[in-house]
This record gives sequence, C-alpha cells and structure tokens, in this order.
Amino acid sequence: MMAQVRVNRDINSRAGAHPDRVFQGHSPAQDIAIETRNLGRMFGDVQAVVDLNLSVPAGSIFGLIGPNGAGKTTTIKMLLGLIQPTAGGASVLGRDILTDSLWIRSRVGYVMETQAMYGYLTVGETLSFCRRLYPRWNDELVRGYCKSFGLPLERKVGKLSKGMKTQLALILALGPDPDLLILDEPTSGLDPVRRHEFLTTVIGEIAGTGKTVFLSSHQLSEVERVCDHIGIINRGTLILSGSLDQIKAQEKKVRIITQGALPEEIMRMPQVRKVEPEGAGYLISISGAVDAVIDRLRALPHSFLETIDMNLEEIFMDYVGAPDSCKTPREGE
Amino acid sequence: MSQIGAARFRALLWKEIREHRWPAAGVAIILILLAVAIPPLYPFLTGMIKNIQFEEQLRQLPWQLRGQLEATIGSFEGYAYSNWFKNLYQLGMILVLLIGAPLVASELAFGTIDFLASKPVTHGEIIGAKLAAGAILIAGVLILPDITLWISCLAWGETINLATILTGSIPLYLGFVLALEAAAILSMTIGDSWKAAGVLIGISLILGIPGWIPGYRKFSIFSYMDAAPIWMQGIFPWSAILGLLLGILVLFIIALRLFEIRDF
Repeated sequence: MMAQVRVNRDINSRAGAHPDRVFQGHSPAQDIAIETRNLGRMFGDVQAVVDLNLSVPAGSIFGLIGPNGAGKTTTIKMLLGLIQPTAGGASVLGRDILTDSLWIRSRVGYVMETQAMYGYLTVGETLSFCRRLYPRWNDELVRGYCKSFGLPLERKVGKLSKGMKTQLALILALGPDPDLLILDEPTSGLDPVRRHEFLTTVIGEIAGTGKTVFLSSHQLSEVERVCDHIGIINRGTLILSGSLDQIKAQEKKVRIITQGALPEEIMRMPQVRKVEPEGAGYLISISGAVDAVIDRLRALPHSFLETIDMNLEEIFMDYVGAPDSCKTPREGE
Repeated sequence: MSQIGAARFRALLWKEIREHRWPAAGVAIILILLAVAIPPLYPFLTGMIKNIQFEEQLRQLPWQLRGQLEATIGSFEGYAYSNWFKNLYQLGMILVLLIGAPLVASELAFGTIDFLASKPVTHGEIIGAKLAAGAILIAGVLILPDITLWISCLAWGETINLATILTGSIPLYLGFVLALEAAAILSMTIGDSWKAAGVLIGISLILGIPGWIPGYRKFSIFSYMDAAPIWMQGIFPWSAILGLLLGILVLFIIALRLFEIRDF
C-alpha cells in the first residue's frame, strides 16, 4: 500500500525533490516573499479562507496544495489585489496587498488556471499589449521562448491549443522579469508531456535566479518534483506548512505489533496524530519530534516495528483525504 | 498621469477600440448609406405628398406626427433634420447597446477580466479606458456620417452648414455617452450582456414616455438630446448640454466607484 517503506531513519532524504536545489528550510531572518497574517475571506456565509498565516521564503518554490475549493485561488486573488480580504492582511515582496497592489502586480508574473485571454488578438498583439502595461519587459526572453515553443505570432489566441495557450500564459508571466511567479493550477488540463515541458521551463528559468515561485496545484506528484516548500490547505484553513524536507522528516508512520494493547500514554503523546488498528498491530501517524515517539515504542515489548517514510501524496491524504482523520493545524518548522 | 500610466491607458484604449470596432463600423456604414440616400429622396417624397389629399388627412394625425410632417415638407432643412436625427438617434442607441451592454459583462463571462485585472493597471484605468473607447467610437460613428450627409447635400444642390450638422450632433452624442455609462454600470452590476441590454431598453422606454405626452416633454431625458433648436432655430441648447454633462460626470463617478470596489 505504501509507495516507500524505509526502515532507516534517514529523515533528510528527499525522494522526488528537485535535485538542483538544496533546501534547509527558512529561518525568520531570511527574506520573505509572501506573508499572510490571519488572512480571511468570506463569500456571503461561506468562509473561503480562514485565518491564513502563510510564509513563503524568497527564492523558494512553494507549492500550495489542496483539494478543489480549498481556497487556493481565493488566496492567490487576494495576494494580487483582485479580491479584497474580509479579515487580516498580507504582504507580497514586502508591500502591503491593500495599499500597494499596483506595485505588486508590476513585479509578479501570474499564470491563472483558466488562461482566459483575448481570442480576437493574435499572439503577437497579445504580447505587444501586455508589454505596454509593464514598466519593465524582457523582449529578448520573450522572443526566445516564442521561438523555442514554436508559437506562431500571427495566429489568433482563440485558435491556439490548450498547450499553446499555457505556453503563451507562461511567456506573458515571465515577460515582465518578475521577482515572484504565481502559478494557479498552471498545468491543469495538459497532457503529461506538456505538463513536464511547462514545469521544466519554469524550473529552468527560475533556478539560480533568486526568484520565488508560488505554485497552486492538486497535482501532488508535480508539486513534490519541483517544490521545496509546501503548504496544505483544506476548507480555507492552512493545515500544514513548511519546507518539504522538514515536513517529510517530521511526518512518519510506524507499523508496530505489540504484545498486548498499545498503552494509553502513547496515544496521548502530542506527536501522535492518529492510531489505526491494522491486523494484529497498529499503524501510528506521528508529527513533529518523531524520535521521541519511536524511542518510546521501541521500549515496548513488540514483535515487529518499522518506521515508514511518507511521500507528499501520503502526507496529503493523511491530512486531507481520510474523512475521519485527525487533523491538527501545525507548522512544519 | 505618469508616463507609464499614460502608456498603460493607451494600451487599454487600443484594446477596447479593437474589441468594439466591428459594431461601430457596421453602424457607421449603415448611417453613411442613409446619409447618401437622404438628399436624393427629398424631391421624391415631397412630390408624393403633394399629390395626395394632404390637408384634410394632416388634420387627423396626432400632433407629433403632424408637426413632423409639416416640418418635413416645409423645407429641405426640416426634412433633412427630421430624417437624419431620427436615424442617428435610433442607430446610435443600438450602437450604445452593442458596445455598452457587453462592456464588462463579456469580460466577466469569458474570465478575461482576471487576465486584465492581474496586470499592473488600476480598476479606474480599466473602466476609464472602456468608457473612453466607447465614447471615441460613438463620436467617430456620428462625425463620419455627418460629413457624408453634408457632402451628399452639396452633391444634390442643397446647402446645409456642416457646422450646423456637427453641432446638432453634440447633444445627441452627450446623450449617447450618458446611455453608454448607464449600460456599463448595468453590465458591471448584472454581469450578463443580454440582461443588461434588456434592462437598459426598459429604462430608456420608461424615460421616453413623457416625451409622448403633451406638456410633459421636458421630463423625457431624450428631449435634452434634441437637435431641433440648433437645426431649426440656430440656438445652442446650453441648459440641456450642461444637464447632460452633469449626468455624464455623476454616472462616471458611480461607474468608477462600483468598478474600484468590485472583486474579480
């Protein structure tokens, strides 16, 4: 059932993570690209985003993951000033989203999920139109990408395929040489080849430049492949956030077959999120200081014990997927 | 406005004109054809009217139609005003509906408003450019056929001052801009082009009703758009113009405010 089962304690291993980057997790002293403070938004009686406290380190590739309707797009729209928060506040690149949204939009490249563009304009006209809206624009980069993607400049945007529209949206987002790239479900509806091509381009462009990428997705495999930091959001609430390394190091499962019932004190340990009976034993989900729990379990009389590393999908499903799962908001760092 | 702000606004203006150019071109072509046709039809119509038992039948007509017919057969100026103003008024309102009703609603329907609003432009610049583009297109649609009518009149040996024709279009133009702003507000608040157009037509009909009731014409908003004082009496209707300008300012502020606070 588990994709990865490891008995070793190499909690710093980063299976599936992008190999070009070494991530240590950020400290408060590092620059922060996006910071939200109790950010909230209500639509009528529905709370789309609730007390969101998010911190995206500058230079990171941050993946905001969550099921459909979790509040990802609402969060992004608030960050860009497209919708106003009903509670809290946020800053992007050090500027307040309420007072400096124009400046923020001039420094942020945005690829939205729907890729709605003006179908009556040609690719060339769309590029020219957007170029005039930004104070800075990298013509050379735009030309280069148009050539490498093979985008026909004279073709109407309405006649482009979904993949080509996504490529054009990415070029338009990269054109203003942004300090922050926000991608809202950018590969939704793309085939695996186009999806891989898109992410490779993003990583190729961003890696080593110090720019930040904020990626919203429910494609967990692609998030795990490219992101070094993640946040899991569900029903408008952030339930887990931090560097992927640290989250993986702090989220473990232990399979144990004990002689007799599991002591109550184990279940009451703050690191123990969930205990599920499994065959003759138990499957225990642990968050935080896992070693303390594992050491305690080792001390119990047992016939079998293994520590299981979890990949992002398993962590996500553990927090969001199972309806009866015990979800505890916590910071990964 | 800063240099960058001005460049942004020009880009938005270009986009809006590009978006709405075909309805404007269509209405302009129809008006130009009408402008060409009006002078040669004058002798034909007057000849036809004089050949029938006119006086008796004239007395039986409603006062509005009687006045119109008397003016029509009285002079070429009256005929030209009556026919030209009516055409401009009707086709101009259709153009206002074609441009104004989808002004924001179509962007909301296709999701392109997100694309636009996520760029470094203010909401004020977006709605300002939309209204400015509409106003420019309407001006073009009025001016070109006006000039065509003047040329056509000259070609058929009739003389109507070009300044009179153009000045006569000013109250009409301001009325169209006012209606465009109303359409934009409806388009923004209703979010559906067809419904916005329907509501605007309904409001226009209600506002037009007093114009058909003797003694209550001044309560019709359309009476302020009338070019008759300029064409027939050579009087510039300052109070009507000022009233229309005030209305334009008020609706512009409302449109701006509504758009600025709107979520996308």
